[in-house]
Amino acid sequence: MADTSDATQKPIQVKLVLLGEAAVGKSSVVMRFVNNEFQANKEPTIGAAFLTQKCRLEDRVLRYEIWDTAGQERFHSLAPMYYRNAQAAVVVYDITKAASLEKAKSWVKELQRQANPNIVIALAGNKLDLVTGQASTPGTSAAASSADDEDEADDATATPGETEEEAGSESLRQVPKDEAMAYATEAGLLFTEISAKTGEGIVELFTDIAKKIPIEHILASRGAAAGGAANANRAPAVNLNETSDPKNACAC
Amino acid sequence: MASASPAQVSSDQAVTIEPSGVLSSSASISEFSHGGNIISNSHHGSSDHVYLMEDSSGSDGATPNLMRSPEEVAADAERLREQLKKSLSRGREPRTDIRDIPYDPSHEQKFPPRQFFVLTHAGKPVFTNRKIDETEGDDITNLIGVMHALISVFEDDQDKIRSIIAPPVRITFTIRPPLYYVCVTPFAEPESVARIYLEHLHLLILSVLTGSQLERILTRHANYDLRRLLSGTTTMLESYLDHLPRSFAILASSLSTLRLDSGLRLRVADALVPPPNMKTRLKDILYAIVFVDDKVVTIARPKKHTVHPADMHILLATIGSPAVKGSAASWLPICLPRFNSNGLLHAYASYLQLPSNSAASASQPAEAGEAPRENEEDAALTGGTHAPAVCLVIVSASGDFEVVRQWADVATNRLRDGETLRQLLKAAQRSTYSVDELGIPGLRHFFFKSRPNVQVTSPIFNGIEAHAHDERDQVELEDEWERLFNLYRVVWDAIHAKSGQECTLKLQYVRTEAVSVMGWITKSFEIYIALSPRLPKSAAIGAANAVVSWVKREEAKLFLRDAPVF
Repeated sequence: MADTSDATQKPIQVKLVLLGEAAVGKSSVVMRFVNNEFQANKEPTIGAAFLTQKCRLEDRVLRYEIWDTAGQERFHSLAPMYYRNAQAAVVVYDITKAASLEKAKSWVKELQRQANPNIVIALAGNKLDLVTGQASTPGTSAAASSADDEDEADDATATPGETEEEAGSESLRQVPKDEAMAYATEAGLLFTEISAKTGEGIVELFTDIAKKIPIEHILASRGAAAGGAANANRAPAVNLNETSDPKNACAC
Repeated sequence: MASASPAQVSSDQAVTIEPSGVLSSSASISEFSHGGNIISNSHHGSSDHVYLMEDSSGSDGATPNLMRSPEEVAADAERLREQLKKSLSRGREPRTDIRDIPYDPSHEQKFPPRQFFVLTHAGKPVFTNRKIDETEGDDITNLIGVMHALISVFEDDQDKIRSIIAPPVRITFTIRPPLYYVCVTPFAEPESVARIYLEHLHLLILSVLTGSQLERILTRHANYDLRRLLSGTTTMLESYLDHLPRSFAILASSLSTLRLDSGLRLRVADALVPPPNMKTRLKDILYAIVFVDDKVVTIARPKKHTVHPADMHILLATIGSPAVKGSAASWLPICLPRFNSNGLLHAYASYLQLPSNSAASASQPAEAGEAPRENEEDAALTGGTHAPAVCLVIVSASGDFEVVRQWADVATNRLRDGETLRQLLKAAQRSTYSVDELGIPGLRHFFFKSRPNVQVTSPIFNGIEAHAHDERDQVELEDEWERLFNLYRVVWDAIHAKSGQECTLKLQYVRTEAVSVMGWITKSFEIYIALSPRLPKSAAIGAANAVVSWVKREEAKLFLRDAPVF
């Protein structure tokens, strides 16, 4: 990676948008990442919440500008306003709700068709805490064993209803991990299963995205924008300084 | 029946109502609750006629079941229509009047919870705050069916059903095609007040789904289930419905202003005025507002836009929802129906935190997004349940977030830098005042509306009955407040002649055993005062005058008078 010294000092701003069906836990994922908190029975988001959080990689610091969007149907038409110029997107689904993966797929399609062509998309299956203890899929023994470890820690805090029966919790899973992963690979997405409640996989998710962001292009386009000669291919997509174009206003 | 209606008193005449009269006439009203329901409609113009509706031939037959065939439903409707005609021809019963206001603290007179229903013109349920009783099963579907049938029957005759009087409740209908609104409120509450609730419920729904959106969806698919589009708004709707009956500002269609030193208010206003180099980019801005809790501190706006109080209450209901309060900054689509009921605007809302004295403020206080980390550090300063919450709101017609955020950052920094925010938070904690501050003997509470400013002010409520300073628990206090507020509502209704009174009043005086209430309206103000019932009428006038001159002295603090225009 050819970093300029400037990059190590000044955080690179990355616009990230969270999309997904209502009640899959988008806000909880963000809350866990930004404040390391979890709040049960969160009220549905209205429109979108805007938050920032720094993400430190080995050689540089990213500053995520996070758009946590509302999942309700009526906000769908406003989504382009939020994902426009985003360099990263986390599409969240609920592993205990099969329909939420279908919705996630349609978001991915929309992003691939209409968002910034270089956008890094991660597919994240949330609510892993509801099915812990279960070897998620064959062939992922490493993940399964770490999930077992989580389980022990989890039992202490989890509500009785959720851990009463192993069989009960297993039956909650509606989206097999390998199915989602196969889809993600095919569509060229990052993929992980996470739990906003326990925090499992959250930081890793955002770090993995950070590693995949084409930082050079962002920096290059910054320089290019300053020089007035933008890289025709990339600049419109990754130009972060594009803040003041009133003509370019409402996309809805 | 107390038929000599004091509601028809001419202007300037004071009316005294003795508690005995209250009891007797409310007793006579309750007779009807056994015989049947009274229906009033507006068919004959402003003077509402009240009819007795027989409940004899089984209301079951008139209850349309949505599963029935269209023929059966039509037959039901026909039966219902005949039933209504029969009842309407029974002739007119005298309207209830001000003597029927029950005010009896000793009696177990509890206000039943107010119930609200919203349905589409096709009879599909949209929203209700009625708690579903498991044992009653499909109760709400049936209720909605009956409501829809009643509305339709009157609509077929080119009439509109307005209300059903069924003590101890009153059922009020508001038709706002393609939606129908129904509420069940205490009978003692004037119908005009119930209409205000319903209108505000309608406005709040419009703020989520614009008028044109509603029209489009329900024209295309008459049977569309709007609950899908309203999902996630239940909490907001319910808490707004809880708030409605407690808000004098909403009743008086005004803003509630934070009492504040005028210099400090001016500094907040200055912080909101956009810097000259940004002005051209901010042409789509409607308002920039600073609220403390549900009170306005100041509003900056371009010359061409005016502020409608109802829109402000809608805005407050939206930004007050937990989802917005819980995040550092929100960017939300909202329709402000009084501004434009068909257009979607965008609101930036950010609850401002004090900059921490440590590293955070040194590094990057400029970023609104940094707030979440400061949350923790400032919890000690601004935390606690009664800590005032300062919210900066910018409403824009354009969806360009960056422009608004830049301005919001500038405004936020200005507020933080000059210690303005800190002072505002401190001042907000001291902004309430007690009626004792006025030093007017016998005065227990009041509401004052400045008509030119369209703003209200009132002291905190400490109880009005007998020993104002006694220890009493919260429940008693709230019951007392509910009773007093209802007197205010009744007087408000009479003064504005909202219930078909022959003319508006300038002054009305109502006395009960525990408290007397006087309402008085002039060109420049509207005042409602609660007094000790032992105070003679003449003293009431004196007390009202004393409040008015106190308000005049304090005007600069109590009201927002010079809102900045840019």
